[in-house]
Amino acid sequence: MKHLLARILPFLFLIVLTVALALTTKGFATWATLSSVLRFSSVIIIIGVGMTFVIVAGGIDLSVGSVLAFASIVAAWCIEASAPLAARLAAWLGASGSSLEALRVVVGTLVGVFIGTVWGFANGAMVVWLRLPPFVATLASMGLARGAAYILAKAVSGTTTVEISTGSFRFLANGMLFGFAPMPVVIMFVVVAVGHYVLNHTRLGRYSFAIGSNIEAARYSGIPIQRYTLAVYAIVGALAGLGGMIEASFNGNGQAVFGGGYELLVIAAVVIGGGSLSGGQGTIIGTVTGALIMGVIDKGCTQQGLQYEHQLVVISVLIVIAVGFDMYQRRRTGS
Amino acid sequence: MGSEIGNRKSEIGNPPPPPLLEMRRIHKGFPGVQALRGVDLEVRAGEVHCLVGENGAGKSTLMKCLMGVYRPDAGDILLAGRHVAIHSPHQALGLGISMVFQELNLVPALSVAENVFLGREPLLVQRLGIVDWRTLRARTREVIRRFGFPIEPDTPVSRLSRAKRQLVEITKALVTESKIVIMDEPTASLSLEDTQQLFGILRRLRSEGVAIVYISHRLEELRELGDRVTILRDGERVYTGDVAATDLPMMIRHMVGRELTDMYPKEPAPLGPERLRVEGLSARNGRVRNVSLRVRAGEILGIAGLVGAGRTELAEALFGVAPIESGRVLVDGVERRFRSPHDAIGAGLGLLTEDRKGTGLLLNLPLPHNTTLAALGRLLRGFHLPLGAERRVAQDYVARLGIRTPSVRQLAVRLSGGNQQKVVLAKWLYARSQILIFDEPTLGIDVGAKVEVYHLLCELARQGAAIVMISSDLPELLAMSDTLLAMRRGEVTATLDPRRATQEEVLRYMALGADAAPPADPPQAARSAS
Repeated sequence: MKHLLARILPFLFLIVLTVALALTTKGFATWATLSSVLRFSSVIIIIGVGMTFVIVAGGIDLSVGSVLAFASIVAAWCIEASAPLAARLAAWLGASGSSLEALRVVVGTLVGVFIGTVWGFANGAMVVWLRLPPFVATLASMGLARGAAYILAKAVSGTTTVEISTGSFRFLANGMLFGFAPMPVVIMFVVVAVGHYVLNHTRLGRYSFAIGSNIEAARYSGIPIQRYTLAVYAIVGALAGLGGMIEASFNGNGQAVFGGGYELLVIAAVVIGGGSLSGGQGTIIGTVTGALIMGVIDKGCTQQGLQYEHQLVVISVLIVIAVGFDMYQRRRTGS
Repeated sequence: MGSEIGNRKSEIGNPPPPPLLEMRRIHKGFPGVQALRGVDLEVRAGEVHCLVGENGAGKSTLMKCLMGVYRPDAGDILLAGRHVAIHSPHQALGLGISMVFQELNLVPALSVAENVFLGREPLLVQRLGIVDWRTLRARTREVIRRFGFPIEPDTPVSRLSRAKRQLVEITKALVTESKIVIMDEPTASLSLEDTQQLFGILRRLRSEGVAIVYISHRLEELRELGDRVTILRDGERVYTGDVAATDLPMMIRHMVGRELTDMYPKEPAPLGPERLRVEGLSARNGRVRNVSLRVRAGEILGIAGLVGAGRTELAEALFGVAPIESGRVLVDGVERRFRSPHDAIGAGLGLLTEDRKGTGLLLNLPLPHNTTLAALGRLLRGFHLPLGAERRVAQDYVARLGIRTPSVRQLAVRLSGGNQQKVVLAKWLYARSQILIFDEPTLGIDVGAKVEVYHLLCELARQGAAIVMISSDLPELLAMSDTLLAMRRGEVTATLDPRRATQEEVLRYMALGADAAPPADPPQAARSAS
């Protein structure tokens, strides 16, 4: 019973918060607000799904924001740099330029996701093979990815931004599926559904819980710890890469400054949603709820005329409350 | 009880000094287990008072109550006749009580002197908390010189051997001029020479009027060093007397206590083919040395030994947790080399570990997660994990093993020790492990649950499992095993027939090794001579 209450608490909070804002703020309870909150939250939720796996498995990844930026730069560069090649190829094949543009966009997007995956895998490798504490490994990785993003951007364009000239790339973030569903929200729903299924109904999810709950017991039960630890870091990396693609698509360019402070938002989403930084606890639905709470706060703050700095304060206080609550629960159950 | 009468008398007649330490009717319970049930302990100045008992008898709990680590639920503690309430180890130190831990309490990065004064550094300027390093070093050096310890105040502890670290712990106690020094298994990691040196130091302390509470499983040490002995069993004091008036068999009888009756439902199972064979196995840097054993289907092989005899290390080497340094492991006649528990499980092994909370259970997860952990593949359909089927598996084991829980959704942490143990057992049963290693399967669980575990062991053997049972509970080993090995310092010192061996005999092999063989037993004598 108490367990159940702890689970639905974030959700109750989200509803209360939304209702309170709807009642006190003019123009909050509108379709436009809702879709804007969803749009704002979608990238956080997408990466949050991966972060839930990592945190459930007892780890953490601070590098997600920087990896997102690096992936956006690499993808933008790929799409741009492939233009001459594609033109020659089109001439040779006698095909239309637009079909090859689509190909460039798809390949560029996949490259972005791939870069994120590789980066995540490298994070996992530092944790598993070099035995670095996840916090340290991904803290270093965070600086590394950000630095790499700046270096590559400046090498390609001379600025911190790499423009993407193909218009069709913008569909990923600005397109509407079936004419009414914003693409980022559609992608988010897919990632959330798959993430929820994998976390609860597959070996990977179950082993993540086991490793985070008691890594020694997991080892003594024959679970290949290293393989699954690598997997969860690769997953969050891939989703950070995907997030980078959405941001790049939204802005029509890759930027080295993308994703600044996202690690805070993403980790906060997991923790506010009931994930435990001690491992072994967390749900995808909780993470979605946590991200939506922050999205609603963001929107509410904006509509109340408050600035980003105020939101930062509010979110940070929320983290303290959520983690404090988690620790209190743990003390009571004696685990 | 006796001490109470003595006190009353002393109020009338000319009073002898009250004992340095008196603990009266100490009670302490933990969820699921009553660790102490009204224990009395009386320690005099200038004596070595031995505290003995089986694992789980309550020795450590009693000492932790004295050190202020635990608060007793009831009972009194008197120091030199004065009531005291001890709330923290810091306070205990202030009262002149210190405890020498096996080695756990040192900070490796700090120097000997820094460790000695850790948490109570002498201050140069009281308010500012500026440490008086000169005094700190000088006082450490003084104690080290006085007792002739072969250590230097400025050496980082990380560079010291185990034995020397033990000396640092002792220096910690000496520098505070403690009146009562508690030593918990101080010789567990010491060589024979180091042990003798330690005994010299303890005798010297005793002659200076310090009271020493000495906890050890090595009964021969007690006879060498101790003045009086108190024996605990199942959280109660069963005996206090002079060591000189207490012989070894008597001590063991008190420690073990109960007679062997129907508590042990042993039914010998028909023996099948050999399932596990170990030849000359060494591991963990000599903590397991040249061990050979064989287990057949339907057989329960018991392994007896004191703490530190290398039994757990043996189990872990067999299970692929620790690498094997030399020797062979054969499963069903085929040599296997396990590089991880994953490999061992694949070959049909299961290890029920001694530390079920540390290495057995996912404490904050419910029963289905714990039950299917080692054999998730049995449940998976493709990559889909059917949660309903998993819940039914857990429910099935709850019913079969009699796990008392309101629902399978219960988190493992909320179960009592005995039920937790059954959950770990369920994990290996579900994994269909055919070669099961049980390390202290009844440690810290109550008597009723123990009997249920014994029934399960017999049933498993009847179904053809090969079982290795490591235990510190001698009656249990004697009653349940088909063959019994005694281990000491990493080696097998005897292979015994549990139907003919006595506890005293097994204990001799555990404590003294092959040297303990009586002259009437020529094969053993021959082995020890070689």
